[in-house]
Amino acid sequence: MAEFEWPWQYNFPPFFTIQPNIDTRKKQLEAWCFLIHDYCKHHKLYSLDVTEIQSSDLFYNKKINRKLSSDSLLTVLDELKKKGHLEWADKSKRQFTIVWRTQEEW
Amino acid sequence: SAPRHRAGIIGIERAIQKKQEDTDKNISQAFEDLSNLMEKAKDMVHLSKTIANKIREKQGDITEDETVRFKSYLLSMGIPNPVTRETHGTGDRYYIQLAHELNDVLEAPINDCGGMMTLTDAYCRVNRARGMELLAPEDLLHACEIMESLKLNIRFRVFDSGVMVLQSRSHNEEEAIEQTVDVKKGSATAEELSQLIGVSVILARERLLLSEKVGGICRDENVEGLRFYPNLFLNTAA
Repeated sequence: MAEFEWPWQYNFPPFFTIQPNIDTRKKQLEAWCFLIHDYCKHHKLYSLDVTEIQSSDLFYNKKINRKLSSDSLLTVLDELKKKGHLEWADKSKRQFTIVWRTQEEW
Repeated sequence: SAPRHRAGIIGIERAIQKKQEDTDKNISQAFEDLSNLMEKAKDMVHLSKTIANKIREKQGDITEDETVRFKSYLLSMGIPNPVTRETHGTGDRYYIQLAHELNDVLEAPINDCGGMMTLTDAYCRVNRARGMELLAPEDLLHACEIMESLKLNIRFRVFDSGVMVLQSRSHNEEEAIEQTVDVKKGSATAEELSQLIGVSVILARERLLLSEKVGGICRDENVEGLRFYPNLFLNTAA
């Protein structure tokens, strides 16, 4: 399997802090959605656990020592849900399914 | 009536007792005078309130000389009463004079430190220069608040964070932001920026937050502190 290609944002420390500026945050969340989507597609993941994925290298860049906090992670996942690429498996938001293609795309 | 001088312990004891009685008398006299004074002040406060009510009934929106004089009375009693005074005359003669004085004294120092100074710094400067007849923080604040209406060279400004500053009229905000964005080719904390451009940490922080607000930079919050980077999210084609 080919090595996953990280986007430039992944090595940019501010990427791991949710930005207070609205315009900036919009761009940031967009990038996160793309990254999660591509990452899951590459590794053929669809059913995921929030606690497990939080410590995976998707949300924890060991090279620059930055990690997305739980709150920020939920913000990102909610954005993904809004875009229709994510379904929660339970009400407590611990498990979720990544939808590689939205229903319209299927 | 001084007691006859007596030798022995009795004499000493009496002398001490006499001293104590005198002190007691002094103290109670002082307090009596003080309460008399307070009674008088109470009357003045009461009177000024009645006058304030009368002025309100008249509803004057021009700066009448009468109102101005009345305000300076209130000021000398230390009971500024802005709620009922605000509509009657825009500020006090005292504050207007003070604002002019501040303008003269602070213009040069403000320009020296990059066109902006926090109000606490200004307070220190003015009072240290005065030595006596010092300013109360409230007086300074009032004087600063009316600076804008007097069209002085210095402007008063409050940031979103509540930090108050005086800035010179010629100081250009956009230029400062541009400079902030430019200075940080890499990344910087408020402390680093303050050393780099030679302003206080508080002002450096405000400058960074302002630049962030307009999207020039973005933040990286971690255990080491708050660090700012050029905003690559907005300025790089993904």
